[in-house]
Amino acid sequence: MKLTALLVLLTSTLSWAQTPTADQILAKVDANMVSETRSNKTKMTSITPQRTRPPFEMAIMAKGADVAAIEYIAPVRNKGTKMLRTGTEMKMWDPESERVSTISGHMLRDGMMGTDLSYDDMMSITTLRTAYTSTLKGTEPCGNGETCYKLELNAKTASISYPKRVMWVDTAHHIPLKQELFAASGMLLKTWEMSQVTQFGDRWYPLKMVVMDKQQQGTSTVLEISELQFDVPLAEEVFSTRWLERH
Amino acid sequence: MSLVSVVNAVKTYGTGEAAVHALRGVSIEIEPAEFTVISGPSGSGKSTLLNLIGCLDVPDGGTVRIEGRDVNGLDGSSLAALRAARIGFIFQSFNLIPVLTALENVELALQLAGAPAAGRREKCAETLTAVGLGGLLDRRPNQLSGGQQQRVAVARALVKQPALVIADEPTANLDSTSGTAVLDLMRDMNAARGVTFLFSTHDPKVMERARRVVTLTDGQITADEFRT
Amino acid sequence: MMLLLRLAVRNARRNTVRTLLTALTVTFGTAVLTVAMAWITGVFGDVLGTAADAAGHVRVVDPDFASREQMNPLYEHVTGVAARAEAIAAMPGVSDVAPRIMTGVSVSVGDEIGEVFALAMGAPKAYYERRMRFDEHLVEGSIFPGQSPKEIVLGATVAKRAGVKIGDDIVLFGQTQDGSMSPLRGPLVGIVHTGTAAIDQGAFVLLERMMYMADIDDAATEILVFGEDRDDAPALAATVSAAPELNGLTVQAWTHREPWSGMLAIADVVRGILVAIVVFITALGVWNTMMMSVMERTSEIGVMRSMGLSRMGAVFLFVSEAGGIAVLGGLLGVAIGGAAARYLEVVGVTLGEATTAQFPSDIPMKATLYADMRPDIAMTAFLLALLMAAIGSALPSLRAASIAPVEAMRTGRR
Ligand SMILES: Nc1ncnc2c1ncn2[C@@H]1O[C@H](COP(=O)(O)OP(=O)(O)O)[C@@H](O)[C@H]1O
Ligand SMILES: [Mg+2]
Repeated sequence: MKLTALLVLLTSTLSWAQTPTADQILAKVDANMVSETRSNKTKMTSITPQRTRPPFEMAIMAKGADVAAIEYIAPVRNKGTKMLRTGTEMKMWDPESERVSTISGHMLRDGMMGTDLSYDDMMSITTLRTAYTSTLKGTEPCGNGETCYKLELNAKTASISYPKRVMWVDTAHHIPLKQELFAASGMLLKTWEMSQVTQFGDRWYPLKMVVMDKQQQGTSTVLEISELQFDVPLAEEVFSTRWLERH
Repeated sequence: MSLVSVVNAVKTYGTGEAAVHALRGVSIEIEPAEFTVISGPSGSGKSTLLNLIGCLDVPDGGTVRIEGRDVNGLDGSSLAALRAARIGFIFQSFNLIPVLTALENVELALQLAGAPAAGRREKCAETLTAVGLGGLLDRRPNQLSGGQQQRVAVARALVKQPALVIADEPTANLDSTSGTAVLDLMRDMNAARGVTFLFSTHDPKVMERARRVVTLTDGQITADEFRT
Repeated sequence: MMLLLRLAVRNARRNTVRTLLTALTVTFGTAVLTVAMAWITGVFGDVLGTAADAAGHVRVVDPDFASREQMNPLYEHVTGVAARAEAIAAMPGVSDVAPRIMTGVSVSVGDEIGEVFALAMGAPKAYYERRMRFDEHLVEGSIFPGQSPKEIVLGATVAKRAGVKIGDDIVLFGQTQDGSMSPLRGPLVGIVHTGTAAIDQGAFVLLERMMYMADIDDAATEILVFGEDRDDAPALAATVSAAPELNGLTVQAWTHREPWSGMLAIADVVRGILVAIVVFITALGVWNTMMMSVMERTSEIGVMRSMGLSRMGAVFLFVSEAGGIAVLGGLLGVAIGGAAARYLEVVGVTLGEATTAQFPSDIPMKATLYADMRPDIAMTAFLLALLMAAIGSALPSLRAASIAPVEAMRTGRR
């Protein structure tokens, strides 16, 4: 009898020790997704029922969670356009107007270049852990036969693109293989899937993402990431207005 | 063939309790060039009989034939055409169109009879002259005396050279002098042109001048005498 | 027939006072109709006409553009626009062709986007001059003088809100057909003030620039077609839509497009109700007079019927009497109404300050409204006067037609 009781106590303690808290899972997600510095190329393909468009290609450099710079390489029409995100501010330079303009307010939540991604999505403002409180809703099978923690995230402040998220984080690598992004009303705004999870040093990162804006019919945007490098030295100058204006 | 042939004509106004039997089986033949008077007290059915013979109305029973044609078989417009062409009317209260001149009143009858415009006015003027109104062609009815108005009415009835002229109490609204004059006029026309006249009257002076007097009493013919 | 007509005329003169009153009723009704129709035509014509003149007498669009126009889908455009415009221009009755693209933009001079919104338009210079009549509305600068293909003209409201002046380099932030952000930069060369809110809220560039912004090559969302007269639009639409070059495209006359078709329908309803009421009331007056006449002349009609007047003859007698009254009353009414309408056409009605003050100060509302006294209105009003007579005399003349010939005899007993 005593032994059984001890065993029960032991196993329950053990299982407690094995199941991380929601916050712990989110911390691991942030650790994978956010880095000191990052540089990569991204090919962004927007698929609409009406038309196939030439994909955008851009070079992205990011520092921490809230500073990012993008330079468009293709198509020709957009080549040379640069965008710089610093905190809540975003500036853009483009070869047509030849000037730096500030993109603000709701425009940041609009589709970037008419894709399913918003500027906010592309260059997130902050780590998930600082923006959301999370609860663990158990584990579910996900992706290609993986097991995922199902997390529910609720925003700490109201002024955020997606006040609520549900995400499936794979137990093996801590990447949100699937996310559902909701408005405050509970309406589903977007789904975001990540795949081709690849190891880079001691972190994992998805090289393919598919975002679907559920407010539009039948559209999706595919991001394919290449030449990904983490913690490379990036010149301070990259994140300045001077970089924007240099061409 | 008789000009007018009425056989057993019945005319009833109203129905049931209120029914008035204006004619209760009247038969009469009228030959061309007759000068006939229908006499009888007021309400005896004189006007009703003239209405039937003048094709202004159709009988409820019996037949009315004008020149052999049974009026019962004719529709409104055929009756109108028959009246216009073959029958002239003279009314008790003259019934001239007040806004038309004497000449125009006569001309209207001719026009409604379908006479061609050419020579129409001349013919009307002639007829008015024949009834003794040669100088009053352009007078309006209210500028004429009763006797003159009735002369216009006579001219209006005669101008289209009808087979039959029907006159319902033509002298009732005239003083005796003008009444006599109008009667003489009609008599002359009968003699000179051979026009058939059919009167209703209870005026003894009219009856004096008639060649045939038919007496109507309570919707039935009670006497029919020829004079010479 | 002449004699009957003469009779009708004399009949009309029998009771001069009554006839005069009836004629004056018709005069009043006709005058009211003339003024009202001129006014409706003027006010609606001004609002609709200028707008329709700018929007094309006839418009050629992709059917999908037409069905989702509110969303202004730039990708539902007409391709090969140069060749098509050329083909249309060669058609009979076509005096002008203008491909056009419109889209929402924000206007900036500094580096902040999203401050001042404008409705951007791209169209040929000739369109701005001839159809938008920009030369008449120019308040500053000039209309696409041609120093640069990138020239921009702004509506007064936008210019004021954006705080720009002639010569400034301004940027219009719009979108490509795919929704990609697409700026257009150019010098501000002119500012126009039309008094029409939607235009004063506009930004105007040449067609090629707009094609660039929308990222559509040799294409436009609309091809506007103009004939001699905007009233001939339906016929022009029929001609244009028959062209093989425009197979599969939607061709619409402005009168069949919203919001004008709706507004025209409203104008028609307003006009219709007004006409119906006035015609009805006036006809009632005519009816009254004619009915009295018929009653009075019962035995007379009977006499004529006994002499062979047909039912139609009796109808003719009264209808022509009423017609005569209506002709006189109507002519007088058109003359009086026409003079009043002409006054409203020349002098106009100036809305009180209380009325104009209700519009926001930056939307210049036309302060004076004018009538439009067209010859066809006089014609219509006169025909309506005849209609009043026809309706008013219908029942009385049928009554006259139903008078039996025996009525002639009956008077004797009275
Ligand atoms: N339209 C009518 N409706 C009803 N009763 C009528 C009508 N016409 C005549 N009557 C009646 O028929 C009878 C004969 O009338 P009528 O022919 O006018 O007589 P008369 O001409 O001999 O005076 C009279 O009793 C009269 O009241
Ligand atoms: Mg009698």
